[in-house]
Amino acid sequence: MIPRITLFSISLRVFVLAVVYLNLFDNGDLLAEMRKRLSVDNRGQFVPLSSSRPFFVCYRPAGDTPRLGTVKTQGLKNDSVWVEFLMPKTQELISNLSQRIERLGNRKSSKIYRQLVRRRNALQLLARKALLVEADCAAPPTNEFQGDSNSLAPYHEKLSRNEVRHLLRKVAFGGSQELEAIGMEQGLSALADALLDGLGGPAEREKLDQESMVWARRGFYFDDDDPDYRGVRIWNMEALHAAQFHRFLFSRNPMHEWLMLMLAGHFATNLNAIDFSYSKYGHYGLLLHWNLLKENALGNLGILSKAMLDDPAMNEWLDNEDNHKGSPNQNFARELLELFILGAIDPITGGKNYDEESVVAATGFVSGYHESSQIDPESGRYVVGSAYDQDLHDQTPRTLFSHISSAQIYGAIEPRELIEHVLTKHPGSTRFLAERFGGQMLYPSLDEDMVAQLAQILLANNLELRPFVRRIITSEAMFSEAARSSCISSPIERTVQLARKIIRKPLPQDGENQEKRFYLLLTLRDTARDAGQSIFEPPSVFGWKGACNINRAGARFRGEGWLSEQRMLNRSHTCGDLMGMLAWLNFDLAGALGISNYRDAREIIRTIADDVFSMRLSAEELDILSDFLKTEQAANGSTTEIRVEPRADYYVWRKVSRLICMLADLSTNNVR
Amino acid sequence: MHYHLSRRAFLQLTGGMVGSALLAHALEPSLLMAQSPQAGSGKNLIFINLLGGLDGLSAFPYYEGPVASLVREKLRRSLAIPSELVIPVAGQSGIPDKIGFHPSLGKLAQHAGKNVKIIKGYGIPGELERSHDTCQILMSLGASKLSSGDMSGFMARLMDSRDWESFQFWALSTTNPPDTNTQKKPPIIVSDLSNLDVRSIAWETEDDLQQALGVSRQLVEVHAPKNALEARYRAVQRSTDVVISRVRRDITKQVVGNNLAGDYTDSELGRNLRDAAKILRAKKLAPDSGMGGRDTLILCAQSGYDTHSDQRTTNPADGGLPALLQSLGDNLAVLYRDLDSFGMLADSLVIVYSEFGRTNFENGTAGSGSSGTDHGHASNTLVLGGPVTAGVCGDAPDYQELSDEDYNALRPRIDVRDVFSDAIRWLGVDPAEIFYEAGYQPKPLRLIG
Repeated sequence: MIPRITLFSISLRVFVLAVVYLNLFDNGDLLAEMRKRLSVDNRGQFVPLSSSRPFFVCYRPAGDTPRLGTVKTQGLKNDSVWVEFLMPKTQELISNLSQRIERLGNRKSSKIYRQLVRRRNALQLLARKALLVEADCAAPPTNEFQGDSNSLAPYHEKLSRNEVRHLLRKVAFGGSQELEAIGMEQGLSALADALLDGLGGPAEREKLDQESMVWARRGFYFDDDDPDYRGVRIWNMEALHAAQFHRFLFSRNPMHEWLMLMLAGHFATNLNAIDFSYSKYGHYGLLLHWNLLKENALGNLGILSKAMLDDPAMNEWLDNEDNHKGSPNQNFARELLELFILGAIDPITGGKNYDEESVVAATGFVSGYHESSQIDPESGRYVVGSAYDQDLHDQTPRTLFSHISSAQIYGAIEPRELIEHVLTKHPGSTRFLAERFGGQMLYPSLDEDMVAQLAQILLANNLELRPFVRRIITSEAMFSEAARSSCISSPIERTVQLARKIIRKPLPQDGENQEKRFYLLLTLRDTARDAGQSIFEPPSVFGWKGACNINRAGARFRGEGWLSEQRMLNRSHTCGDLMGMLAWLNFDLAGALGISNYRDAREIIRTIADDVFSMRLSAEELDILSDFLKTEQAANGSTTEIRVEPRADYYVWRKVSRLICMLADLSTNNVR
Repeated sequence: MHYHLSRRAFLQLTGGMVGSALLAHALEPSLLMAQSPQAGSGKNLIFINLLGGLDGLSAFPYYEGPVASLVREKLRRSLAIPSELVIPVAGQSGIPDKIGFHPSLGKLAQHAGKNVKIIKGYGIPGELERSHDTCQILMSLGASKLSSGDMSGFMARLMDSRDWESFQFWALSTTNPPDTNTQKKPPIIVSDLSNLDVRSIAWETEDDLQQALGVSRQLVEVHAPKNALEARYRAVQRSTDVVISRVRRDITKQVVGNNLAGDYTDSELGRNLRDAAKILRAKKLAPDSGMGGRDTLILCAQSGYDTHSDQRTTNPADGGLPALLQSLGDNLAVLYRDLDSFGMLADSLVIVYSEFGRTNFENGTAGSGSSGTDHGHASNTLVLGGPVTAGVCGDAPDYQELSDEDYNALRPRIDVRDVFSDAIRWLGVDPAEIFYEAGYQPKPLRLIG
C-alpha cells in the first residue's frame, strides 16, 4: 500500500510541476510577451530580470481564459520556453493539507506535521505568486467596469477580482478574504446574498453582539463618592466606542456595520454634546441609539424614522422632549423634515419641499414627548428614557405642505402619523432618501432619472432597505467608471479597512493581553477622531460634514471635507498608530501578511500592495520601495544595505510597518 | 510671478526638514514663496463664524427704550437680560433704543470696548430662509439665494483674486465647504497648530523616520492619481508637508496670550484665536516665514449657538449661551491685547457673524418651556479692531415687527454682504469684484475709521 504522504507528494509534483511545451498553445503571443519582459542575450537565450526568483507570465490563448506560468530561470531558448502551470487543484490541495495539519495539532513536534506544514506553505507561496502574476501582468478583462452609470439593471454575474474588491471597498470596509472568495468563485448574486444575509446567520450575529458587549461591559465604572450611585455600574463612553470598533473590525458581515455607520451620519446624534439630566446613565442612551441603527441597518426606513421619536438620545439632542403644547420647540421637527425624512429641496424638481408654515405644523404634530426613566437590564437601575404623553401633545389643527397638493393636510395628527404621511404622501421624501443613500453607495450627484428609479424601488418595497441596497450593489451603476474612486474615504472607513486587511482574525478577548487589545480599539477610535470622524459624535445634526455625498444646500460633495492639512497629517498617523499597537501586542505581522518566508524585497512589496491595498505598483514605485526595504539611512543621510528579514521583529516593525503606511497614504488608497 | 516650483527645487526646499510622511505641493501654498522684505506689514482680517445662529437680542440686548421694554415684558419674560446687567456701548447719545453687551462679554467690553462697534439687524436678504444649512451656505457664498452655479465662497473668491505675494488665507476651522473652495489657490487649513507633530512608527529610530519621510515624498511624487479627486487628495498631501514644516519652524514657538486680559481658553475658539495670534506674530517677527508683507485672512469658528434650549440668562457657570458668549468675549479680549502688544492692532480687523438670528418670542412661557429660541432671520453682531471706533451701526427693530407672533423674526435691515464689503474695501479690493450677484451693489457702512 502506498503511504498517503507519498501519494500526496506525487500528486503535488503532477499538479504543480507539470511541465508543458508552450507550443501546445499559440506560443507566438507568449514569445512576444517574453521578449517584452525579458532581455535576450547574444546567444538568443532569454535572460530573466532577476536571477533569484522565477519569472511569471500571463498567457491567454485565443478564446481561452488566462493561464499562469512560471518561466524557468535557466537555459531558456526563445523557441523552447517552458512554463509551469499552476492548476486550480492547488487550492484544494492547500485546503486538504490545512485540515490534516489541524488534525495533527497535538503532534506539532512530529516529523510529518513539519513536512505537511512545509508543503502547505510552499503551495501557499506558489498560489500567492500566481495571484500576483495575475494582478500584475494580465491585461484587464475587456468587460471590467463596463456598467452604465445611469442603469440599475443587473450587472453581469461573473466578476473580476478588481470588481469584487471594488464592491467590498465601496460598502463593506474592504470586506474579507472569505467574501472576496465568494465573489470570485460564485459571482455577484452570491456575493450580494452573503453581504445582505450575512455569513453565519443569526448565530454569527449573536456571537458578534456578545463579543462587542464584552468590551462595553468592561467599561463599567463605579462612582462610590456619589451616594445615589454607590455600587452601581455605570456605562462608560470609551467602552462603548471600543465595542463598536470591535464590530467594525471583526464582523464577518461588514456591510451591516458600514450601513450602520452611514445611518449614524444620517440620523445624527451626538451624545457627548448633550447634557442628560441622568448624566451618569446618559451614555445608556448612546447604546439605545446605536442599537436602533444596528437592528434597522437593513430594515425599514419608516420604522427606523418613527423609532427616532422614542429615542432618548435624539429627543435630548434635538430638544423634542421640551416640545410641548403651549411651549413649542421647533428643533426636532425642522431637522426631521430637512435632514431625516424629506430634505429642503426636491432633488428632481429643485423645488422647496416644505415651507415655514409646515415647520410650525410639524412642530405641533411631533410634540408630547418628555424625558422619562427606564430600567437598564445591566445595572438594574433607572436610566434615561423617553415617553409620550397625550396631554403634552399639541392638538391644534394646522396646515402641512399647503403647496404640495398630494401631501397637503389640515388637521391635528399624531407624531407617527406625521412621519408616515411624509414618507408615503410627499413625493420629495423617497427622492431625498434615495438620493442621499444611493449617492453614498454609488457616487455623488446621481442624475434625476437614477434618483427617480431608486425612489421607486423604495416606494415599491414599502421603504425596506434590503431590496434597495441589493438593487444598488448588483447594478450596472455600481460597476461603472463613475462609481470608481468617487469619494474620499472617511477616516473611519479608511482606518477600519486597513485594520481589517491586516489583522484579519478576531483577537482573543481574554488573557493577559486583554488590556492591550482594548487599547488597540480605542487607538483606532482616536486616530479616526483626530482625522475628523469621531464615532458616535458627529459634530452637528448634519452628520459628519466630510461625508461622501453630503448635500449642502443642493451642492453634493465627495468627501473633500476630510481634506485639510491638519486632517491629512492625522490621517497619516492612523496607520502608524495601528502598527505601534500591533507591535505592542506582539502581533505576527509578517505571518498575517504571509511574507515570513520572503527574501526578495519586491515580493514583499507586491504581496502587501496586492493583499492589503488591492493595487498594482509601477516599476518606479517598486524601485523606490525596494530600495527602502534594502537600505537604512544614517544621520548624515548616507545609506547602507541591510538584509531583508521579514522573520525578524526588528525588521518588520522598522521596515515593513512603514512600507504599509507609505502605501496607505497614497491617494489611491484613500478613495472608495 | 511664478506659481510653480520645479520638483527638484521643491525637494531642495523641503529635503532637510522634519515634516510629515507626505509630500509638499509644487504649486502651493504661499508659504513657499520668496520672502518679502516688508516683514510685519500687511493687513489682518479675521472672520469668526458663530455656528448655529446667534441670538442677537441676548448677545447684544437692548437695555433702555421701547424695544427693551417689549422684550422684557412680552417677548422674553424668562430670557430677557436684566437691563442693569447689560454693559452699555458708547456712542448712543440721542438714540432711544440703547443696546449693549451681554454681561458674559464683560472682559471684551473692558479691554477692547473702545474699538468695538455693534451692528444691529444684519442678515441675509432675499427669501429669508431659516435652515442652518441654507443660511450657512448663503452667507458663505455671499448670496441671497441658491443657484446651481459657482460654489466658491466669498473668502475663496477673495483668495483667488489676489496674488500669492500679497495674500494668505488660513482656515483654522472648516466651517462650510464654499469658504475654502478656491479655484486657483487653496487656503491653508489647519485646526490646531500645536498638534502638528510627526510620529515615528513602532520601532523606528529618528534616522529611520527621516529616511521614511524622504521615501514617502518620492513615492507620492511618482504615484499617478487616477482621477481629479485623487489629484486633489495629492495636492493637499503635498501642501501639508510644507505647511507643517513652516509652522513648526516659525509659528508654533511664538508666545501669545497671558496678557492683561488673560490667556486663550482650551476651546475650539480659544485654539483658533491662539493660533491666529501666533500666525500674526510670526508674520511680524519671522521675516523669512514667507508671510511678511502680505494681507492675511484668517477664518475661525465657534459652534453651539443653536440655542433652542439652554439659552438661560446670564450665568456662564450654567453653560448654554452665557458660557459661549463668555468664551467669545474672553478670547477676543486676549486677542485684542495680543494684537496691541505686537503693534498690529491698527492693521487688524475682526468680524463676527452667524448664519441667522433667532425668534423674537422665547419658546414657552415664563418658568416653563425650554429656555430657548428657534430659528429666525436678522441678528446683531460686532466688529472689532484698531481701525474701528466704538459705537453702533444700524437701527433698532420695528416695534410692530418685533410683536408679530406669527412671523416671529426680524427682517434684515443691513445686508450682511455690506458688512463683509467694508472689510474687503479696507483691504484695498473692490467688493463689487467679490460680491457679484445680480442686483446687489455694496453699500458702505463706514464700520472702519
